[in-house]
Amino acid sequence: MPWTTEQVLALAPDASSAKSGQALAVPRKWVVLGAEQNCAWGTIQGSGKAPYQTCIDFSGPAFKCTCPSRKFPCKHGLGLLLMVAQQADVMVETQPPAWVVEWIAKRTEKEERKAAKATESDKPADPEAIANATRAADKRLASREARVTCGLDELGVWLDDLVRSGFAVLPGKPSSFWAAPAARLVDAQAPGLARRLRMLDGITATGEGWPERLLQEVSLLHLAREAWARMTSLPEGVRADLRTAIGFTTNQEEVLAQPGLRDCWTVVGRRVDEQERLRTQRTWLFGANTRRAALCLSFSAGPNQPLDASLVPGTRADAELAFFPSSWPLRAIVKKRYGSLQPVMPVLPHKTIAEANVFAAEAITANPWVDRVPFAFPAVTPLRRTRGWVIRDAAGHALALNIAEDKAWMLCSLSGGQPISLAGEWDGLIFTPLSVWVEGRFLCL
Amino acid sequence: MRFAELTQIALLGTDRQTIAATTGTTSLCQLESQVGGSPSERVLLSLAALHGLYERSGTQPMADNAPLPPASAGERQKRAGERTGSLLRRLLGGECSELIPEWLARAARSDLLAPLETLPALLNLGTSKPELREVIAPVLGERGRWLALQNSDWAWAGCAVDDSDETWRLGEYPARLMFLQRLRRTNPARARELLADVWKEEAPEDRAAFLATFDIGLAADDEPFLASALEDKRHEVRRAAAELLARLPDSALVKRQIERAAALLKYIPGTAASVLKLRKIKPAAIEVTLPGECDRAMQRDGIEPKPPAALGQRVWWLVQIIEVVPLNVWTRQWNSTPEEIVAASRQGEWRKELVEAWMRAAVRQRNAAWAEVLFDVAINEEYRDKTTVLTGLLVAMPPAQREERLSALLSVYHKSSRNPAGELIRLCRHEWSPSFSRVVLHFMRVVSTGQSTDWPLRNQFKEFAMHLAPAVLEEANANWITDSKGWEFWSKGVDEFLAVIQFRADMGAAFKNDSQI
Repeated sequence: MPWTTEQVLALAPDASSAKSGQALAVPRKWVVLGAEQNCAWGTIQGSGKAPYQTCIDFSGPAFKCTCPSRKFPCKHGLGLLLMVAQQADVMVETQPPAWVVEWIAKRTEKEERKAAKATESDKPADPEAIANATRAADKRLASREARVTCGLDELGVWLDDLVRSGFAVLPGKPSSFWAAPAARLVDAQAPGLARRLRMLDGITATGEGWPERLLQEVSLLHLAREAWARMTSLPEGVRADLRTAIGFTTNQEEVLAQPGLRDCWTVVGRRVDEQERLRTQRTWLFGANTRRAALCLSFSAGPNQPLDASLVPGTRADAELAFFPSSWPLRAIVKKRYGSLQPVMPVLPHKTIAEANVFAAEAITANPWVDRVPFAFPAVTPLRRTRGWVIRDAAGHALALNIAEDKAWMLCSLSGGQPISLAGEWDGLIFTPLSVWVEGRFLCL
Repeated sequence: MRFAELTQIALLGTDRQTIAATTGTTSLCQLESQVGGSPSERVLLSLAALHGLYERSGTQPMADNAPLPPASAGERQKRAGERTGSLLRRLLGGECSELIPEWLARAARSDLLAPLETLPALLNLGTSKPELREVIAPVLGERGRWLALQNSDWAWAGCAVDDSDETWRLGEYPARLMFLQRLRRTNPARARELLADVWKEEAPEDRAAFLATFDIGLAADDEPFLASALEDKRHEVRRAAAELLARLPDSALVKRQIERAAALLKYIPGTAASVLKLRKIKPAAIEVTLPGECDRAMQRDGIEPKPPAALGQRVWWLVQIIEVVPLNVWTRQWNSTPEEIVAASRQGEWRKELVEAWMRAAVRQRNAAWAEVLFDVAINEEYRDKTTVLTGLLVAMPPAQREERLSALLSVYHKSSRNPAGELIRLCRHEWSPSFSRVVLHFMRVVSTGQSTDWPLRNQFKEFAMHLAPAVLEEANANWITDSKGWEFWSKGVDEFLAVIQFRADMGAAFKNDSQI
């Protein structure tokens, strides 16, 4: 698939890297430039004595550069890939030099070793070591569970106080009012609930209907506390959902060890949230045949940790996904990819807004703590109404959009008053559009 | 609506309210009855969780029965291709944004429309930069006009390009202004007639702006209408009319100013030295008489009675008259060349004011012969707004002459650290000839090997890249001497220059590609 400037810039760890990368997308600055089908390379004189060697393996894409920058990919990698996207004819060399061949070989070897290790772990190892490790892990888990129990008890008392004295006293409370119990939940190793609690700060200032929204959220915290107390009587899926809501993490290797679900997965949208320097990337997929939704997460704690770029919105990947345990499995990781990504005009599942509502209802009735689900409409028309921007379906129903004014006009321009294909995420209150297909083209919003 | 009921209780607090037991027999009520026990706050929260989920999972979509606005009409023109379009997206994203007008002009020349997703950004751009509206409008297409009709900020773009009078009769002010500007270009007489028909009904504040469109396609047959506007109640309208009439060399207003001026300036030819050297050489001179008053007739012709600060009122009246008089009048009347006249002016009082008035006259009348002479004067002396004056004089010359003047300036660049060449080249917004482009390139190469640190010039490099002839773009990349002493300082400017060059080359290739499809 040919790279576009926008896609390359999306890989930049921050705005300044993007800018420096663009400044380096000038062939004159490079000593050597070359590319073949799967990789590109170049050397460039930096402030060091020897020129830096920069190389990209398109399959990841994976970057390698000898410069001392701690950002990843560095500006040299970005500049190189920008030239591949914008002026491929300047990549004059076609025979990869030794250092490129070597790096690619090392990478392949590493991948293979990783794969080998994965299969190796299936083999029985030393039974005694395993038993020891399991015992230690069990002990750690038991101690954590005990702390969670205490934390949830404390949360329960706080929640009870909240409704006993009434919400009416809440407007104007300082942030510490919410932050203090949230911090105690963090101490109790329940970061998921702590996050939910922190989100309540400011809810009283969100205008009409805030008491309903607050009660909704508070009741979900309460539900977690009630469910935890009767954990053992719950079905397995609900147990998993509760653990996720509390903030227990699931070992990815365990997830990968399960059988995957192979399908042609359309990447319908991607969104990055940033909170206290932690970036969370959500990539939404829909299976063409299974009609299942999937969410792939990627986290980054700083500019030298790139977010996963292997699932490009607007394309389709033939892949096997492994889902995290849940009563309504949504979060997944790619277990195996077959072939490369294909740009595609997808078949989107939600013919009407009512259908999307039913889909969301399935999700929350199975997993009350689910934060977001993807909606993907094959034909809706964006409209400006007095209360804001909405989309309307053929059945005469409307859905409010969470969208910046300039993006809304862009959507309007793309539609021209005709239905367009639109996908985005629904958080239970509002729909945030992320991607649009129109006249055979795909655009991220 | 049990959840709303529960919210009410939660709002006031379970201390003050009790939860009424349910009486229904539905499955939901049965579930509710399982939530027993105490304390009541815990019951409330459990019921809220139950009913909250129940209501959320039964969310009904909101009905929207309001009529749909009409969809946009189909386009008659093609849209720019993916590659061309992505260049515009980059431009609008801030990269080389100086090249936006070039992209738009190229698209208009190839009869292509801008990509749909860029239309709102282009409309915003036209709203904040009215001078770009003329180049933006052609790439908007039907879709752009359809959008513009939905947002009052974009009203200027709401009129159709095929000029039906509908926009003029029914449109809003910005769209009507745009319409009039466009019509002045194609059919100035018709534009004048349309305006004259409704002249009296227009808001006084709009009249001046409408009148200013006569700037486009101004011709002798506009005179009667403009002359009548000299009587307008509003000062801005009178000024605009006088300004326009001053640009019609055969107008009655100009004739009146010529008459006034004739009484004020007198040319006294020089005398040669006599054979016996009894008399000294006496060079030619210009005798100036200042006007005694600024009567109503003069004010009617656009002469402002009140002078700006630091200028006497009588000399102020003089320069306003001189500015309007066609320069050829002097050369004819005094039977002398511009050089001789300018030289003669040096002998009298008010020399500087006189020369400045002529400079403004040369710019307004686009008199190349005078502009050349005055440019040589201005370059060596101090003037207010020197760069503006010099640029105006350059623009008054035809491109070839302009480039010749600038080449001469460049060749002596090293001699003066205050050489305005860089600034002037930057401001010459015509597309340079290949030979002049090479002169500038050569200049840049020479400068970039030197050790000077001319910061303004370095910053101007990237603007040079915008005017370079397309035929020279290839050459621009090579032949930079990168191991010279000055390179470390200049390389930044050269890099920026080359980035713009590269962008322009990409743009050229992309448009060429589009035209072949």
